[in-house]
Amino acid sequence: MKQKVFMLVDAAQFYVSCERVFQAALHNRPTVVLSNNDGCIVALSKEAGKLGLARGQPLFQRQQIIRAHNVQVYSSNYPLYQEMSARVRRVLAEFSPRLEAYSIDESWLELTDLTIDDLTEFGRTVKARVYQDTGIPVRVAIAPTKCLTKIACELLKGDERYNDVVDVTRLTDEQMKVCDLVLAWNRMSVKGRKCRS
Amino acid sequence: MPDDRFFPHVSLLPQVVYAGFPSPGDDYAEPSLNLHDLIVPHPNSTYFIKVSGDSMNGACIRAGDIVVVDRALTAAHNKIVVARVSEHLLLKRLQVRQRKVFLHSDPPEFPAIELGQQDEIWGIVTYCVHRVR
Repeated sequence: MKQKVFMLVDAAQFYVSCERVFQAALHNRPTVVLSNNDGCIVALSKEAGKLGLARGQPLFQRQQIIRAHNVQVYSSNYPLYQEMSARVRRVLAEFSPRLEAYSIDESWLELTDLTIDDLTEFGRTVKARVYQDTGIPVRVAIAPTKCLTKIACELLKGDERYNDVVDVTRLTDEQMKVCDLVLAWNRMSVKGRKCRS
Repeated sequence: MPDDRFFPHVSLLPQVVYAGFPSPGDDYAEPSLNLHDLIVPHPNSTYFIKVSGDSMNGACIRAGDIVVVDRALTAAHNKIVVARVSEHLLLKRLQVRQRKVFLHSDPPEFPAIELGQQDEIWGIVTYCVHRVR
């Protein structure tokens, strides 16, 4: 059977990215977006993560850090995120007829029946187009199964050398066993996350 | 649109049915002109931004106007662009001089701003909506 090829496109810190497209002042500043009624932190920029803030933390418990580092705090603006999500998706739909929307900030494109010489290069093109058109930075992980794209995407989060694009379709089974993917998988498990597909 | 509660399985046809003489123009009906179709050829990458300040008056873009900005287009010399310069979005005319990119106001009363490594061209201005008073 022909090997399938899936591409996961995952918008990093999507809510923060949406705010940043229109608020130039947020660029490089620690920024968090809150849940409905401003209860908890639901999205945060890399800079905010470095200060020790994390998803799910109640705002009132983190006020000290937020004040001390002038963290920019935003209420969630779902109409904006939904609109930006739809724009990202419409751009992605131009690259493959088979698009599966997974969540507000993640989509799969199936590339099995497309003739693409260099998948990594294709991934870079997709990333660049999404950023050019919408201003939203994305990570791109290409693999033979959806589950592997999720793991490979986790790998991207930990390693800046990939520049947000990775293709793991060419790895042999043996390599698959020993490669960083396994480490990434372990890291996910430690975090208590589940691979959701 | 028919109300679903009263027409659960019946769709309302767009035409009326004539009991008298049908209109000879019926088959030639065309949709109204839609300005959006003209100024937004790329809906995924187009944004509307309200202008404040007078530094682009020379290009007939004035405070309170709404500019149509298309991110999908490529910046070039003399284009009017929205650029992110450090912590601000600026509306300026882009000029390339000796391989450096500058942002000029129009008229050029204000000093030109050189685009830095961290700055970026946000989008290209394609139209300006100006309310005539």
